[in-house]
Amino acid sequence: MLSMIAFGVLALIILTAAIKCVSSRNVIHGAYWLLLCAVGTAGMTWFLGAEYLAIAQLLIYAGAVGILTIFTVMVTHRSLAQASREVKLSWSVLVLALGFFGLIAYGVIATPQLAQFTTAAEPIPFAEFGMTLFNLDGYTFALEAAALVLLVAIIAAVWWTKSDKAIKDVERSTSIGDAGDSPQAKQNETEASADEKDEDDAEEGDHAS
Amino acid sequence: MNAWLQAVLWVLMILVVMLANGSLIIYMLRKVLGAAHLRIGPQELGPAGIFQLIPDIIKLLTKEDRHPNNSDRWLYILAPIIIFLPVLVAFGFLPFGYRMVAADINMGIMMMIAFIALVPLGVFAAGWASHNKYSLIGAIRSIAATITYEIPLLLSVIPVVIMAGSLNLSEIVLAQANSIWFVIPALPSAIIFLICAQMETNQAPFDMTEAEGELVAGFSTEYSAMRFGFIFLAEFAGNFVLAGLAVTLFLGGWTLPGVDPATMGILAPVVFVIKTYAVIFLFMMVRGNFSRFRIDRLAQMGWKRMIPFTLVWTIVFAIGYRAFQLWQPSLGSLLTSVFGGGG
Repeated sequence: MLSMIAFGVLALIILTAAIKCVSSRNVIHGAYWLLLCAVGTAGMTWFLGAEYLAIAQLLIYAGAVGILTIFTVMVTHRSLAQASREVKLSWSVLVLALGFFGLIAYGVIATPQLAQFTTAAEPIPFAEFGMTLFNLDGYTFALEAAALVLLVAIIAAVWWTKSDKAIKDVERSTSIGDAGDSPQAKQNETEASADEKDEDDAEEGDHAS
Repeated sequence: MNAWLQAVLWVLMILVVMLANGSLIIYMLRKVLGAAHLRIGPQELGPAGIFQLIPDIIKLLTKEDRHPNNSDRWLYILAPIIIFLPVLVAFGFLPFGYRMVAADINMGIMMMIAFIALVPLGVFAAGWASHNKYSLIGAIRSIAATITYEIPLLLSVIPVVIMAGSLNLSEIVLAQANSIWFVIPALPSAIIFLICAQMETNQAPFDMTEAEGELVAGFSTEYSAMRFGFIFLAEFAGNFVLAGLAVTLFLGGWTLPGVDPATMGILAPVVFVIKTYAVIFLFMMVRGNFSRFRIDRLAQMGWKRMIPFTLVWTIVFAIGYRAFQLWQPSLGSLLTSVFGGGG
């Protein structure tokens, strides 16, 4: 009984937040509804005994992605007036969403043990979970492959934050392209020398963001 | 129903602790920072001004609760609550004594840090909704600083987890009672943790989010009356939570060296609270003695110094600890032969 009430409350929170997230005209409000949705999902997985998933949800989705979303809005729209958007309804998206929903609903109904919501009596022991995850017979390779994706993202981020001059130096040393011939390259050259002057400012600005 | 009653009682107790902690920290702030700045602090009401808080509360309760024009009304109202709630929840994971913890879960540390990480979202909501440039700049700084300093904060916990073999805060305390306080083998981690905690609680020298010289009061500029009180209560509670986490992770929690944890009984919370306020005192001394970091220096120190250092230190520590584990028997016998039964 109590578990059903918990499920109902959490489901209501998640659904309301998800709908408001998509439909709210204010981008910041949308971001905060997304945050609430993530927290609600974390609560749901917590009640199911998947502690690790709940914490990942909180730390990554509510914490990191939430902050990132807001930061992105922050950088692009700086005042309240700019932070509103049009909410466009699109039939194709509706069909897509309904199709996806149908697929998941079918999956849940077809799997009997998923169809009922029960709170876990005992949470899954975290140490055991870790051993399975990092066991060579377990999911180590999948995990490392997923980590490679992050590595690519990190390298890309480093590349973006490097100043033009540093990139040019790398290009020269590896002699990719013929710098100095095309007008585009010349323009880049002058930009690079301009950057050099206030290199300190640019560098500090990059790191602050 | 018993479990629900217990939960309600825990929440009430945590609220009482938060209020008591808030009033104590306000007094400490005035007196400790005053002493650090060679001032006297409050002295009119009661002996040494201890009742100064009462008129403060009356002032907060009777002030006009105003909303700035053009403010984002709902977010403005909700922001202090978004700041307050995660701290309230984080309190629930702190072990005050043997089995004296509201939520004794497997992943206590992770859970606490996950909830503490939600506070800046409230700070940002406050800054954005106020429709004030100072608030907004403070809020942006808060987010920038948080994403910088949360990484070393999480990394500095790893050596403790390696030594305790658990993420459960109660077990970490017991592991320290059975060996030594983790501050001794993992001193660099403890220092990194304290610096990041100072950052997370928006205290000088890292209080760029509310640098009064340039931003009036940062994200809380437009807040008045009890909403302002709420923000401050949450901030002081955050202070207590992070100091308490530092005590739990590095300073043996509620245990004392040489005393059997089972016999601590009612003394355990007293020991814990005293240790926590000692750490808060340390925070305040740092606050009173160092000048404010510029925001770019702050980011630079975080990304270029703290994160690489913590990463390297964590790896060095892990290798060193494994080596210590492997050679411990021979090391133990060596210590015994040198100190005569000491090791």
